[in-house]
Amino acid sequence: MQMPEPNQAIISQRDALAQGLRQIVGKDWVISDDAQRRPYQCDGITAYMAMPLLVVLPGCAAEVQAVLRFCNERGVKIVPRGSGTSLSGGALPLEDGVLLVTSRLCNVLEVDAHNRVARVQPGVPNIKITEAVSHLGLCYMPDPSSQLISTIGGNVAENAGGVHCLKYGVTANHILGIQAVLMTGEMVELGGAYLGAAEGELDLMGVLTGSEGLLAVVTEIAVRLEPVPEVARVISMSFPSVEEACACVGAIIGVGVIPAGLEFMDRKVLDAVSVLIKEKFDDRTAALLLCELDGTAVEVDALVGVVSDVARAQGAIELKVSTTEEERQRIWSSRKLAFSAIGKLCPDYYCTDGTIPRNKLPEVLNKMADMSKKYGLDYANCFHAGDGNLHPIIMYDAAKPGDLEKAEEFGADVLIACVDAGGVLSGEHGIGVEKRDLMTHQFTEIDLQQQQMVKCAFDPKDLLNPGKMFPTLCRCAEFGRMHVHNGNLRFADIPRF
Amino acid sequence: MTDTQTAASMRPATTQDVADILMDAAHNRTPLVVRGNGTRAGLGNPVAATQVLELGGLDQIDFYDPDDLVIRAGVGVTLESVEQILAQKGQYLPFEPPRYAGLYGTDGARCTLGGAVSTALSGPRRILTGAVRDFVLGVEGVNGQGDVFKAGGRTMKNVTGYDISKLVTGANGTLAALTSVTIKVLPAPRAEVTLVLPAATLAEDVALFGQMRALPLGIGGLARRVNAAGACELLVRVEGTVPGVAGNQQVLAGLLAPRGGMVVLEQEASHALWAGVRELECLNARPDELVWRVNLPATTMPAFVEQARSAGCINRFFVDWAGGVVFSTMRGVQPEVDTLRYRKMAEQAGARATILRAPQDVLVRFGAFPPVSAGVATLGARTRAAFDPAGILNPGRMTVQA
Amino acid sequence: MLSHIPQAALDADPNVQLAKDIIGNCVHCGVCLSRCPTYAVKHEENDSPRGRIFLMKDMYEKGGVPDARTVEHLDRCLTCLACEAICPSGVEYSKLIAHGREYVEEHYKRPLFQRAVRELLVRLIPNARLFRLAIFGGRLGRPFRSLFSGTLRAMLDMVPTTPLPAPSPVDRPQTFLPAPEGGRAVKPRKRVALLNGCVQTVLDTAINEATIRLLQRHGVEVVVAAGSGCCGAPAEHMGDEAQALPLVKANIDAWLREADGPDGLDAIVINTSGCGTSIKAYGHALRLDPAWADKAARVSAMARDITEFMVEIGLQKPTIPTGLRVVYHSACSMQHGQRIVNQPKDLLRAAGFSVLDVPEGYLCCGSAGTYNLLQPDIANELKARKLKNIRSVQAQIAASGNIGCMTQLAGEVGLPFVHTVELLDWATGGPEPAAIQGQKLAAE
Repeated sequence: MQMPEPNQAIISQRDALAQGLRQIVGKDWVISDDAQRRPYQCDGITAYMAMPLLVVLPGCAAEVQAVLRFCNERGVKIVPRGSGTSLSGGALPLEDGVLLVTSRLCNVLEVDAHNRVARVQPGVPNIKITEAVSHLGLCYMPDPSSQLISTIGGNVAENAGGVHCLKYGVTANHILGIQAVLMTGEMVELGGAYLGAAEGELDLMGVLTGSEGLLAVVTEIAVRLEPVPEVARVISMSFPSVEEACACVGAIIGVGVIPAGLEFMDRKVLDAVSVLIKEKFDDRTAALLLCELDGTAVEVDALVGVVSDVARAQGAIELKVSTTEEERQRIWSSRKLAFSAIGKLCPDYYCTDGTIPRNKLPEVLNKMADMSKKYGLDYANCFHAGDGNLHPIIMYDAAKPGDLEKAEEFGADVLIACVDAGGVLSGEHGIGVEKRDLMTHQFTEIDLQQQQMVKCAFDPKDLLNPGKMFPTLCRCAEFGRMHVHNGNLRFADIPRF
Repeated sequence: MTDTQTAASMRPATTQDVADILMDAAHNRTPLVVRGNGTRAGLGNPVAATQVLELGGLDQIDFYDPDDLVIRAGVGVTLESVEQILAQKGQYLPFEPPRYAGLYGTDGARCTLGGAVSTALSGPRRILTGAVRDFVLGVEGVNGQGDVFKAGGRTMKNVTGYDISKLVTGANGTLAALTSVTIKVLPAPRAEVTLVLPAATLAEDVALFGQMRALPLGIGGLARRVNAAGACELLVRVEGTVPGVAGNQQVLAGLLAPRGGMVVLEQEASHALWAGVRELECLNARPDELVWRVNLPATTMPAFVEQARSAGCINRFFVDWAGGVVFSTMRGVQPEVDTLRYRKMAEQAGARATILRAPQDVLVRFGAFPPVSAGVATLGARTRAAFDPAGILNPGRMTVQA
Repeated sequence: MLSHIPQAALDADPNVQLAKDIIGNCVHCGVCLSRCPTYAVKHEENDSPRGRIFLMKDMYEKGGVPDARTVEHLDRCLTCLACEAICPSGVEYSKLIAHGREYVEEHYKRPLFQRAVRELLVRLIPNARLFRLAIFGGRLGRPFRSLFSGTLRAMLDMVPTTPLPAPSPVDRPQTFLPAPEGGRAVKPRKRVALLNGCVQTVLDTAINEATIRLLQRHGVEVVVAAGSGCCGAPAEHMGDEAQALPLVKANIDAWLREADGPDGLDAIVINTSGCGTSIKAYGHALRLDPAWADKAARVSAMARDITEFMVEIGLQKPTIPTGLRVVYHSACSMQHGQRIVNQPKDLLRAAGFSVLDVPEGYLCCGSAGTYNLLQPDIANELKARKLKNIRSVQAQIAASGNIGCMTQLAGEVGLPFVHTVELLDWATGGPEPAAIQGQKLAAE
């Protein structure tokens, strides 16, 4: 994985830059010391590391503005990040770039219960929003599995999903307003703190959401709050084959039920988990679906009946339905422990994130079995079946030379298979650096240029998080000038990295 | 300066035709009116162009996969036909797209799916299920240089590249001539009832809306209107599974009992009622009246409405989205003076006031859409230029030239 | 996480190999940050478990003298182990930081003043007599507190203003028989050793007294073993193995003498969760010492927090079910170190109290053994946060199972602060805890 060549001239100015930035954020909040910069070398993917030029932790939106203006004037790149939990290397530092960390911007600014909106700073961990409003019977719905620590700013940058987004939607569906700072230091307010606050203007907020920190630094977010469902019950359904489990996913949705969550675990995952939860799964089980239904008690009881009937008709051999909250938690614990359980089976694992149409699940899962043979690496499957969002867990040993590369190739093959099946490279982790070079498989040159033109509108100097998402750097000046015929490669000479 | 029938009209049937037309137009810097069938041409500012690009001919259904809750179709397919196809499988467009055909005096049966996406008009169900933007999974279109591009995809979850699908939704054809859209659909609720009860003061009603919205009861419509008999009433739509709705209806009936005089409308009667709300029928807008939509926090709505009424800026009105949107008429006596005053009031209330219908000279002078800050305007202009550097796609549709 | 620690270093020290393995389990997911008290205060990666793991990785990779910054961030860790309890990958942070600190003490020369303070604490705390003397000295110094800053001032601030209780007769080596029933002696159901501890025998003698009464009432014979004393944790937290080990070994000898004696021993009961965590880790601490490994493991296996033990034998029906609202503060060593979460609350409920949780209950109160003396700034911020959270739930009494937290919080919480066993003892027939006597409790 190659990154743009660092600018040595910038690196040589580190001390002066640190001094200038300290005048903005205070001396404690610029980290320039070698030892202290090291823990910032990576995000949630440890396979990619780079030493940030400096780490800056602003304490308010005005400081973010000043830091960006300062860096923009000097041509210094910025990599924004929250808690550093990205699973695509989206917050991977640049050696000639300032890592701008939002962890100090961690206040819930306002809760408006009537209008069901909260205004929060970007460094607030996702779960803290729900904690701040739970006494009102409200919650913030999107729940990425990192929600204990991943920040809402990071969630916006990656358009984070989670188990419950099948029914409730992803981050973008829960954001009403954004205050953001462009690389020039200019602040823009998009939308606002009520439903419909963005009516009648270009949906710039929509394109900022999921832009992986390449367009602007978000400094405040107005999120939608939802009433907490009265009850949630989960059905654990075991199937004798992967195909039958997959077919059941489509069948449930086909009868008009949208579960709150619908998760898939294969036998390998179940075996690994059963050690941790000290519970045996039926020997005939090849795959397990967990289907959560929520709503009012009457409604959920009715849905449990419907889904159970569908599951039996689809060949489920065993159904377990939670009747108490404890049982629900116990049934979910197998899913929650899945990744750590797999972690015990191998020194390292690599998890990627393609999404496919639900009816293509069996096809792509079969291809994975072939790939596993090809690369000689074991894998397991545990994913958001309801969304068709695959998270294959590829097992490898980082200490073994060549193993990481094989795992990456395996992962890339899976993603290519996803795109070929009509899906996309990423459902919720983002492109970052991890899937960057696969973008050309999903998009044509023209598609990518159109996206990069958007980047140019926001950040014409390409200083915000460059080297992520696109396999080439932006050449904004050239994009604007040229007009070439459809389908032809416009900038065949632009170097790829 | 017109986009009426007198203009030269091109009606391509394929994406490639659209691309060819736009490449030529870009080359010649010919501005174009871009529209579907033109049924909502009255929404937005008049476009300074004499040639019309009509996309209504792109009316194929590419695929519909009910088990995957997704449909992809040409932008020219009519909403009516999409809704019919979905209904056969018990599904629907969750954003409940209004036609506003009555408002613009056009044929609602010709309103297109592409028009719904481009105008981003969302119906009363917005408070429960979301807006148009929440259901646009992917798009294909042609930018202002004649380049065919696609963005997004067909899966529910997707963080692969910038979400250009959202950006073009509600862009009123100023970024690209969309050719096809991929839409997430949902199973239509099996049961629907509407509780109708007498209104109280605006403030009391908004407080009651707030109470109801805090409950997880599947409330997919909260409006307040004057009915045909001239009485002011609240409409509460509850939807979901049959047993769920029955249960939720009971809970609500208890909560609303103190108001008294409740009437319950089921299924068809409820559908018909909300179709009327969606189409702003209860506004009874006369041809000489301006029609406005004001989005604002529900809690500030009562004071805003009182102020605007006493200032003569609101003639008749009704509220939807639990108080978060006010639709109103304005007498056409001194439209310019009133428009200026109304916009000012809205601005002070932190609201966004859009003119849905007005004489052309008012639209030209004030713009249909509420003004944005200088920073957002600049960023918007740069974003438009990223798609349409020559400025040929619906120029001026959303922005007023200084 | 892959590390590149030189092979020679791995071969030379099995603890370094262990560190490498533990670091290898960390996937850098960041979940630990959500529970880390220093991250909650500083918002900075270097003051988080994930950051410290990185710092230790670099420390071992480079070898030699660790840099001052690394030491500073390792010092700031409270060892509350909230991170370990939440870690989805099962990273054994407690072991990593313990060995990391030993490495620092071995290789890093602290400034003279720091060394003196740490030396003083290591010697003072385990020794009840010296500790009493120090408190006496502290009282004399208190009027001059404004002349001091940092640790010294924190130490003066910690000096209790109320008179110390006289040494309790129960803290001398002896055996307590089960309470007689109907005037007749009872055959013990169980025989346990009680760790009377160090600080506790000076600051709050009522806790051990209540524990012994509670156990006697439940038909348990209690031994205060001759030769047992401080568990060694204060020294160990500062990475001072040399000071800690003799204390550890003395305890092991004392308890195994009882266990191997004619009457045997069913458990070693501990009523200070900080000590409990440390004793449960004896097996690990001495695993590499062939002469002690087995013995230490035996002791660790017998160790029980008093609440664990009471759940095992079953609590009697309360004789005075007060229904009072008790906010239960779970010490880090209790909930994270020993993963004892529900037992104390279940017992309190069974004893007729209404139990409330502290919001952000996972956060350390800042006491953390000697931490409040060594890192007063962070400790005070955490303390203020904890006090606010405890006050927010409108309780009448606060309870905890760790003397350290009680010392840190009792003075300012505005509620009577008692040990869990004092309430259990009271509810099942013991005296009303002194802290509650004569207090006007908040309204029902």
